[in-house]
Amino acid sequence: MQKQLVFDVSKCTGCKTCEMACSLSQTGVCNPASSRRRTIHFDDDILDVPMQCMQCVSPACLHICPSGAITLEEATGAKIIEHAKCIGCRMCMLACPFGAVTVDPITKKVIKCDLCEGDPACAKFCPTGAIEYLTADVYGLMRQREAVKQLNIALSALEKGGA
Amino acid sequence: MFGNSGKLARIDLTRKNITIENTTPYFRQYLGGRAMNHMLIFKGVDVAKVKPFDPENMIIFSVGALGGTTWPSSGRLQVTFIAPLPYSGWGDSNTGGGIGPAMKFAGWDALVVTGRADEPVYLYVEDDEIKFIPAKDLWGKGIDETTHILHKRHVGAEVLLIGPGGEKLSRYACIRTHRTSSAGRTGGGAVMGSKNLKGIVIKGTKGVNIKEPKKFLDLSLACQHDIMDPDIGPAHSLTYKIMSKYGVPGLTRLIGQTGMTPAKNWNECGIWKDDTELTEMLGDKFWKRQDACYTCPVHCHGAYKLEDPEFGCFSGGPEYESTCALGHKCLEPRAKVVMKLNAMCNDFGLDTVEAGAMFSTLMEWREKGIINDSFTDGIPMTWGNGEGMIALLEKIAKREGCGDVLAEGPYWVAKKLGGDAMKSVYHQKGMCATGVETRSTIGSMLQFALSPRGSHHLSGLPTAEWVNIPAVAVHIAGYVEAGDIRSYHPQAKAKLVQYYENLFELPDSLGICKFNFGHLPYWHDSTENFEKMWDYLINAIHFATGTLFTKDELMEIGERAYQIERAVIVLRGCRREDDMPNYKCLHEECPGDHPVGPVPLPAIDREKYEILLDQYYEYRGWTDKGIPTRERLESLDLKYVADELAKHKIIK
Repeated sequence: MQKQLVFDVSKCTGCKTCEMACSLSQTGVCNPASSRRRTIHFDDDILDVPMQCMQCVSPACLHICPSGAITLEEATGAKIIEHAKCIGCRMCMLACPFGAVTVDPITKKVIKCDLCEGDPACAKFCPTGAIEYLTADVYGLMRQREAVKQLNIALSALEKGGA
Repeated sequence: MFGNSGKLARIDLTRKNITIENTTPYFRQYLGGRAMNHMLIFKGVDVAKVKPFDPENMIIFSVGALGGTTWPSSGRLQVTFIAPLPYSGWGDSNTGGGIGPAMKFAGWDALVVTGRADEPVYLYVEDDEIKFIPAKDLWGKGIDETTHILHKRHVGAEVLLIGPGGEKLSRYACIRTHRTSSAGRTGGGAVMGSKNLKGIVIKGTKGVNIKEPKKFLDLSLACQHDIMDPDIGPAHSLTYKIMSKYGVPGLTRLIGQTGMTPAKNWNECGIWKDDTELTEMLGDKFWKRQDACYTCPVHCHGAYKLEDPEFGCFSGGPEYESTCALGHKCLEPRAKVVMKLNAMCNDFGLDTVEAGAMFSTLMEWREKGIINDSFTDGIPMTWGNGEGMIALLEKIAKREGCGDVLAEGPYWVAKKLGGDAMKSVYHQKGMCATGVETRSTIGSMLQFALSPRGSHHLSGLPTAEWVNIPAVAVHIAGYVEAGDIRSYHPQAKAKLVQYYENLFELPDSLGICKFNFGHLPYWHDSTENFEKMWDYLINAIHFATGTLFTKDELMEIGERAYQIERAVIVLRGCRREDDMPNYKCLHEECPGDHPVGPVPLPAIDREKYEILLDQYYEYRGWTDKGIPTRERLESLDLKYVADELAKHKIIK
């Protein structure tokens, strides 16, 4: 089963290490504006949300691209931009429902997450485990385990309290 | 350039003029950040004479070669100026958050601001462009509201601001950035206020060039993992465990083991049994989540939104310094009150440490009959009167009634009061101490008393001593007494303090957090771990910039930077007597409750302290009056500093 990037908002501290790791490994420069992923900060709610390409199964960017520059990498499932074919129309940027396709301010080219050939730097560098690279079944089991823990807490509280 | 951006902007607010300067020549001798600031302010200002609020005063914001990179905790910004709070005039403060990295991403190593705008402005920096934007609409507004407005106006930008405290020139006005961060101490907010500078907003898209990206990435990840390693060593790993869940307040009772945590305006010390709400409970109950500065795996801040009819508020922190200053020192055990006071300080742009010291000093003065309630506009400043503190803080921020005097800070108020008032002020060089009882550990006493900016730990508190793990202390100083918290051994303690003072210049000059590289117990379990920290620093600088420094070369940069600080305060009149401990330390013992060290803590032994000071001066190459000598300065390529001292007939 293919892995995918998953994130847990409750674990994100807004440190933006993911953006730095992404941009440095992709471009050789530490630059959030060149990062293929961003952490979105919400001032009033004490919240940061990691945002990235979801590598959709039915990807709007790939479908809309008029020059066939976005292709599927079979091994990882990543949708890759081939810059040699890209005509720079930025339709992919407009079509993406997550805003995950952006423009690199240095190269002026559209950029998006390519899953770092199956070893994504963001997940590797995330110090809190807010971003992880997992298969869907492992992710599902993890979430179920967490849910059971919560259920356990609720059940023991019920027993003690007599409800 | 790699690591550093290679240029700084000199911004004259009077003439609305900007000039650009190459910083490349400064790297080898100053790295950047704090050490570079020292040289820039020394050469750029008549440091002997300039007054903090003169337009000629300079305020420098700078980062450093590792700032804004993958390096763990590379989110620091250094601010340097001639300061209003300590009478020594040395203004030096550092903040986390994201503003430092933003400055680097925009392509600047430093913004050097002089002059005074005729009307309130803020600076908007977007890559190469720097604009002066009118700020009349923001003047008078709190930091929360102003942040909100500016984030909407400049999407994706980082902001650094002053609040009403700085606008009204409170000597302890701070500079705020991010919800959880301040350049808090020495009154930089008031210097900005005196320049009619409301803030700096930065959006950067150019990035930081790294010489060897792959190696730097791998090293960053290894260092991050080591900082978080649960098995690297008991003190190191426990520090991470506590800091990442409870923040610095979680360390309170560990710090108190030797009596180092002060209470009741430094009249008591050690473990305060009523402080549960101010320590673990913040993390367990009140913080909505942990907040991190840029690229920091430790995320030692909390962010909170308190729903409460009386104390409801929304802010970041409070840090140990704030819980200790507003809680312990004032005997206020209620977290809600301390969180409210902390949120108010943050919004007004006031330093929580000096504000807390102001309240606790008032409480002691009242108890001793030095003041009565009319001095505080009828508000009885009794121990633990949190409601009274809230009422007074409002007045201080607005300089209303007694707040006009209290906005000056304890030292300056005591000077006005005269008589015995100064005996209650736990200060050095005019600034009150951070959350440290310096009678507890002799090295910390020496370091606090020497600190050019006044009484605080961040200029070189000897970690190996205060964490009470002797191995590294002995390794550094070469004497077994270095590891004994009560020892006055001149060579051991002088060497230890000098070492940490020089070391602490480095993180500030690199744009990284000294919590993780020198100040906290990280890397202090063994000499191997300590040397590992050094290897990380040396290699990180090498891979980021392409320059390989030796440990000795880096420590010499630290020494060079510290000598400039000293020269500035000597030019402003400080001498040996200003390095003597404050009245309480020299004349009073301190009762308390702590398992390590004597109870009560005895007063500092003046005779032994003087011998220690002599030894320290000798290591620094200073005269017995504490004046740097030409020989020492020239050996550090500081002829320009020696010449300035000679011009003022202080040396030949």
